[in-house]
Amino acid sequence: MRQRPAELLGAATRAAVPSRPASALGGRSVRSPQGTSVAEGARMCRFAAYLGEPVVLEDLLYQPDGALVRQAVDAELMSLLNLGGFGLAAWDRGSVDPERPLTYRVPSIPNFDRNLRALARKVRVSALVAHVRGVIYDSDETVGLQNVHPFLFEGASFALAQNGDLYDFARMRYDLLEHIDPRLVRLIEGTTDTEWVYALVLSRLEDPFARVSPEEAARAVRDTLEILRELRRRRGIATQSPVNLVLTDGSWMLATRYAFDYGWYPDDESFFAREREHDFTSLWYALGGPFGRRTDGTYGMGAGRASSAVVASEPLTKSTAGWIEAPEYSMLVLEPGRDGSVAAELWELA
Amino acid sequence: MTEAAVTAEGGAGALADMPLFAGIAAGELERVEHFMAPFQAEPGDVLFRQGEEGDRIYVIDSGRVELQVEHTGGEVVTLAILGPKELLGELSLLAGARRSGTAIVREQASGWVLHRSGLEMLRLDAGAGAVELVARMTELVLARLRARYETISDELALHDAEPAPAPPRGARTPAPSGLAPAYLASLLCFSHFHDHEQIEAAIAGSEPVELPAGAFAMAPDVVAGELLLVLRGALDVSIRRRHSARRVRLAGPGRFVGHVGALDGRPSPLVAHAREHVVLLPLPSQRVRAMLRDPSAPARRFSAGLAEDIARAMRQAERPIARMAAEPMPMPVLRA
Repeated sequence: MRQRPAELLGAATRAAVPSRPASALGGRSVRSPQGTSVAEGARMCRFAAYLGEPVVLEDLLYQPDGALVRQAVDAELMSLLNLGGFGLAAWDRGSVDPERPLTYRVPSIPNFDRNLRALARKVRVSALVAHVRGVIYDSDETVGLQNVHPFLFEGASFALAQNGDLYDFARMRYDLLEHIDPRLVRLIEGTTDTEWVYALVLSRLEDPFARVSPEEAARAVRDTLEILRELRRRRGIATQSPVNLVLTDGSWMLATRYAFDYGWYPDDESFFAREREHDFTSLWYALGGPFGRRTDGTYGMGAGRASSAVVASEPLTKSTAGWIEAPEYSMLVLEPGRDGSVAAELWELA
Repeated sequence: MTEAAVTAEGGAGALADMPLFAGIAAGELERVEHFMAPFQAEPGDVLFRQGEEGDRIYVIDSGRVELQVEHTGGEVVTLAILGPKELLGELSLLAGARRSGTAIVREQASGWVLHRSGLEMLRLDAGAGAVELVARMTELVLARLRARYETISDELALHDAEPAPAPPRGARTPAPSGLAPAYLASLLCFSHFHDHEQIEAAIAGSEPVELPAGAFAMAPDVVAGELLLVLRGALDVSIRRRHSARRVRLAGPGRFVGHVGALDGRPSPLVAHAREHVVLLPLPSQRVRAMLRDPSAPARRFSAGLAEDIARAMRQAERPIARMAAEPMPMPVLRA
């Protein structure tokens, strides 16, 4: 693959103009023609992921002042509470069957979960993807174990979680069928767009159940976004839809900061309309020594070479010191480098 | 390091002696002074820390203050040493963002502090002194934004000597319907307005236009005759050389593009293209410049939103520099 250092992020590569059913400035319905509430797809979540030297799980989930569990009810960069459940997949190189992660998923908020807290104090992880699920406060929402991220199909080698939502997903859900391996369709249990996106990414691989390189996985993600863009175009869906994904197999990690039709919101009082107060859906990362408590009492990456990385919807500390905001329309690719380091690359996404 | 005390009897000199306040009539200056408090700080005192809420601006009268930033991996880098007559901390207050650096006093310092509430009072004040002071602060932030863009441009030129060819400006078409009042009122740039009539007064005479994704909205190295307000979609704003480029801002709804150029009347190094299909409101530069010193309520509210947007643009422009400054940590390389 060609390397293009210092290249423009977001070059003018998109030629197609999406069709827009309503006027440029007029209102747009938030209910699909089939009458399904699109609010069902409105999920703005938080995730935190880690790759590198082993750290105690508690240092990522609980201890920092912006830790993921705290973000369930006190996220810095979003106003919604994340009440739809908590899940994690964690890898420990020293464990039995190290390629298979420890998983923990509950359809409730993690703040009152003593089992999770006790587990987090004892377990060291070398890779993690953890997620608190945001759902809008509506009885149309489906809150249950089957919708908790991260998703990890039996036999698949990597897990996936999302902070985002595909607007009006109900109208395009079954269009995805033609692009998904039938073996994977049978594994979809929940109602989230994320699980379908996961199946779509796996289906882009030569063998969805084999271990893959980060480059192969990154290409699959890029191809998945292309398919989604085409299906949205076909359905005339042109409302902002963030797709911030994080994927890891315990040895590499990918994270996208991406949105379809950024800046196009409906003119109403819906959840989506209020999104326009905010910037592009956030993604932050930090590189350095293992994450944890430092000598000055603050939490962050350790000094020295980049042996570890944290990727999160927002920094795990209220202070952004040491954190880098990922560029919009990009994919962060983290993989093992030489001498135990973590090598980072940014891919531009069209 | 200790936290700096803001003293009521600081050793700050008279406001009138400072360039920011020069020429403002004595009576007007007296009103402005009500909104400010003197401060005095000793070497080692911390005025603010990276990551804290930005709730005040420091106007330094004497002494030296070091501005540090902690990069990923814990490396601490000195961004600037600020001295007499300089402003400190205005970006995070105006942008509504947390502090991007830590300010440590290196030589006994004194000056004036303007708290958020003081700034709000200044903006509500239609007196000539208050309007002039707010306009000057906006121009100071604008000058910093220009300097930041020029630094990025110079960095790019070091590795890529050839200038980029001028892109053709995309054909604009009128947006098919009028401006929906509720939508306009919801945009961040109009957050200081209380009613639609005042928004209408501020943008009177401008009509929205559309550009398809990929089309260029602003060419570099010309004096922009307009400030662009993004209503829908997004503009990608970059500084380009022939073989390389760096994005300095992704401007979504409620954000302006072209402050540098439109407001200071000098050629801008920026190129802007539609990252998404975009609806824009072009605002004539002369009119926007005049609004900075117009004491009418619509103009003051518009200018307040504009100043905040300039600060947000500055924060976005700082991001790539932060990544570069974090060497020797392995920094991401972009792949297509």
